[in-house]
Amino acid sequence: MDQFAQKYIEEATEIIAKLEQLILEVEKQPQNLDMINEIFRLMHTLKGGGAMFGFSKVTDVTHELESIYDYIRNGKAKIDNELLNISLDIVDYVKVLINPNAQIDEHEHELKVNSLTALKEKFKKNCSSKNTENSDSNSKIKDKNVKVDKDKDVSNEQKITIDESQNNKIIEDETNSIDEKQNDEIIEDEIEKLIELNNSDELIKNFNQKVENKVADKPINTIVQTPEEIKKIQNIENKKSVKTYKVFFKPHIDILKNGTDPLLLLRELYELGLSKVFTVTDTVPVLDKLTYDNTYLCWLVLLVTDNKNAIDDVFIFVEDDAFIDIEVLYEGNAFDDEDFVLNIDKFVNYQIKKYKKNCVIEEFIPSTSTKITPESNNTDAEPIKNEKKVDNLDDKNKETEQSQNVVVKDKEKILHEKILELEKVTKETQLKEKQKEHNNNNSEKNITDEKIKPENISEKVEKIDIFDEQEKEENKFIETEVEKNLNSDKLSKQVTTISSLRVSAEKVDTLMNLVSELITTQARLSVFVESNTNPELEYIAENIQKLSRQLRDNAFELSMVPLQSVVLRFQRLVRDLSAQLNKNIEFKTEGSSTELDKRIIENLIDPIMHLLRNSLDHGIEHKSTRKKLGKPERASVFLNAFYSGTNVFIQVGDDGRGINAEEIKSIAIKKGLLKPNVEYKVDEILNVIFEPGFSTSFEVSEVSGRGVGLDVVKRKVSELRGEIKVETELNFGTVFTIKLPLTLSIIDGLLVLIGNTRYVIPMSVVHKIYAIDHIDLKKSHYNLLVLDNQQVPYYYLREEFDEKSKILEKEQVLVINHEDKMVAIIVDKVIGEYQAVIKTLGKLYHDQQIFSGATILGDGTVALVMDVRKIIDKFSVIEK
Amino acid sequence: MSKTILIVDDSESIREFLHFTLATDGYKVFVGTNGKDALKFFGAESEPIDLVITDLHMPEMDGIQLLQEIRKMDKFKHLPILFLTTESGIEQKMQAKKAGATGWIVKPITPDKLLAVLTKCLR
Repeated sequence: MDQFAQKYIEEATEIIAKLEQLILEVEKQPQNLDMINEIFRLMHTLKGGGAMFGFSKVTDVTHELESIYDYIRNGKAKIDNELLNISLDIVDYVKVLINPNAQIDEHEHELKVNSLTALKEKFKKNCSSKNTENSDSNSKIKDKNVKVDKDKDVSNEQKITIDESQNNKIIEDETNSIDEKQNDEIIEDEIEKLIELNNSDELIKNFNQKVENKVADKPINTIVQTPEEIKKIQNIENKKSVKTYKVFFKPHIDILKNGTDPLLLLRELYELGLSKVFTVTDTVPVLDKLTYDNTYLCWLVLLVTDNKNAIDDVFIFVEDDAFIDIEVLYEGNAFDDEDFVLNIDKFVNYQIKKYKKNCVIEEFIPSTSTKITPESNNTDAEPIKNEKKVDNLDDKNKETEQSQNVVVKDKEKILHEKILELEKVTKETQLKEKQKEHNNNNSEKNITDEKIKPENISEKVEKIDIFDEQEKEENKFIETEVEKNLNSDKLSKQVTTISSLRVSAEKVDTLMNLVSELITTQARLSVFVESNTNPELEYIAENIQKLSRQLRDNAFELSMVPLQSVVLRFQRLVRDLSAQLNKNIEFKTEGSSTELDKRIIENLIDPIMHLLRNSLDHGIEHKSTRKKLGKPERASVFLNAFYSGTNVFIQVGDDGRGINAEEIKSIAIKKGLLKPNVEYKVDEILNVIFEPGFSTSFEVSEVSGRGVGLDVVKRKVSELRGEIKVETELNFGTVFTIKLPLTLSIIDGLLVLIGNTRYVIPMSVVHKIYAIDHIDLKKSHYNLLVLDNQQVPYYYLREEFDEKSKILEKEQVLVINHEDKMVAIIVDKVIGEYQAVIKTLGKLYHDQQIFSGATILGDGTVALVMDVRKIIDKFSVIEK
Repeated sequence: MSKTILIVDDSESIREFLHFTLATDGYKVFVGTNGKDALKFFGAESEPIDLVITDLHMPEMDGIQLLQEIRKMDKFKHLPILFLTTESGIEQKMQAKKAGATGWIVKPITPDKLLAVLTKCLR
């Protein structure tokens, strides 16, 4: 189970990320039903998995949210900011919940769930009030019904039902005296029965006690006849923990239509142990009222078994379609008891009568269980009731019959409730009061039963019909909505569905390593084939070369991740931070589908976060300042990404106040980072903000904090073989541009020779290659070469690397584009292009400043990969 | 011959849990990620399915729609179809029932109980 829980956590993490993104997007376009649907589904999945794998707290919160989004997607409620905030809050909370190490405060959890439930209720109320508004044009009676239906409060419901009954009563009171008497008689009868029943309950209690007190002397197996049952008895005797259960089973009238056969259920019960089944047949109507596929019967089963779960299992699929009451009647085998066996009929009759009172009365109203268990007397069952009521009224005759039943039965029900409620009032006074009432009304009106009854009935029928229609309309609405959503879903899904595999990052890394090895080996093979001219081998080698290239490209793609995957975090950061800073900020992203090596992206998150935070905190002015400057109140912060050659550019910018170069300069001079009385270019001044010394001191706040930790950002970017630069215009904004290689592991390189050693220089930095005479170097001053009428500083690597071998007459000059400047490095020989699989250098070489890695060449020798930027930095320092 | 069960759920963890539990007990298991995906197992030549366990809400095609699609085929009029649901979803249950579902499995469910339910449905 644990492994699945682990899986769930992984999955949930993914879902949470998606949810977060969707919620943020819904904020921008609250009308987008596709997104709301998606949110709903994701919540559902979270909930389902949570329930399955023991994250019940996740289920608690997501259930409520799911319901809210259900209202929204059905068009019953509107999304608002509060909900989005809460949603995000819950998403964060679920993050904590699925963390197995997190400590969760029970109390806090309860508060969270409660507030959510309250919110749900609010939405529910909103949508129910909407419904009633819609139905204003309808009759009052219907309104009342809606109220009864929609009102969630149980007590309210009861009150309203009572109100209604009084209405009914008044109507009935208008009937003539003969009917009156009959009615009263019925009432009296019912009350008597109720009293009798209450007493009978006690009788049973007494009886049970008697049975329990009595030790079974000897079993009298009057019931047992078949050998099978004798066997069962022996079984029971072998087991000590048997109990006698009373199982009352009243299936819903439509149970056969659902494909459930009650007989099979009974058979299963029968097989569980020694049992006796009593069938209640009073509920079957006369023949011409009988519909063949309705189930009118109910059963009482006395069952001796030691396995309560097995009983539950029998009813596993019907528990909602039937009234089922399972109770322990007796510890042990009740059939052993002589008294019990003798009185069994009496007992069963009492029980059945009792059940009749409670549920059989409402035989045409399903979900009778709602009557018995107060907790389940909830709203969910309510609409079903009405629906089923309607279902049953197909036949006209039946309609009349049932409506009459309903009237009388309602009365019984209400009376029963009243008796329970008004314990202090004696039944007699109640009756007297009623009689008085009836008599009074009686004198006023004199209408025949025949006239008033049908009216009453038709009214009822109308009520139900209206309901039917309303319900149908609602259903239709929902259906069309769903259909619409699905259709649009299909369209959008075709674009967005990624039937993807989830593979651990580790596996991809391993794959990349293996591919690198393969490429290296393949290169060796190519070299080997060249020296052994075997045409057949050549053919194979070429094929392998082709395939391994393809494999490399594919594997390479695997480790590429779109920037999108991390953009969400930035969105969230901007959202939260702008709320915190009370700034109105829009976050725009462009080119988030740009793909980058996974490792690059991982390492970029922090620097980008940092830049964004700087922009939000210091770059963007306060609302009031913006107003004064005539800028739009809604500031924007953007994140752009795009390819250019073998590089990826990522820009983080804002339309804030910009950076004041003059201020930077004066501070930098104070700090000793710049020299006074020297003319600096703006770029040079701005680059100071990336200097380590600049960031740490008090100047930070003065210079709008631009310096905070920017040296760290620069370092991180450099580690990725990238560059960062800043452009700014006072009062118009600032843009940081990060330039990065596409990948860290494989580069297009230029293989060069210095002395007898081969080196690889990343192709991306090489601008031009010249060949010059060695003599020209000697003639040059201050390490400056004139190339194409341009002065270019150069570094003579041969000298720098202290190569002692013979100097060549012709030197190769590589002009390198370094931070917008041209720099030349001079090597002995350019061998050619080379696809270098970069291996990191070991820890021992961590401190060296020249190489970023090494690669294995085709012949198996190792070539170092130069980090040109570092080289220039290093040697230029030495020069100073 | 072992029975074939089709699991349809968009949640990978639940799919895997059911798959594992059922496969361990000797069932042959097919897996679909949503209703549409699951329908591919109901082609004319595909292996007969003995039982379907499906989630309610899934992208592209939900459980109810799947059920209706399956029931449209004469061959599968009586195929047992069970819904996965949470305890709280009474409305869902009724909806599923009305559409012709055989029954439901209430999450959380232990492997033992799951197998008991299946045995019952496949009998």
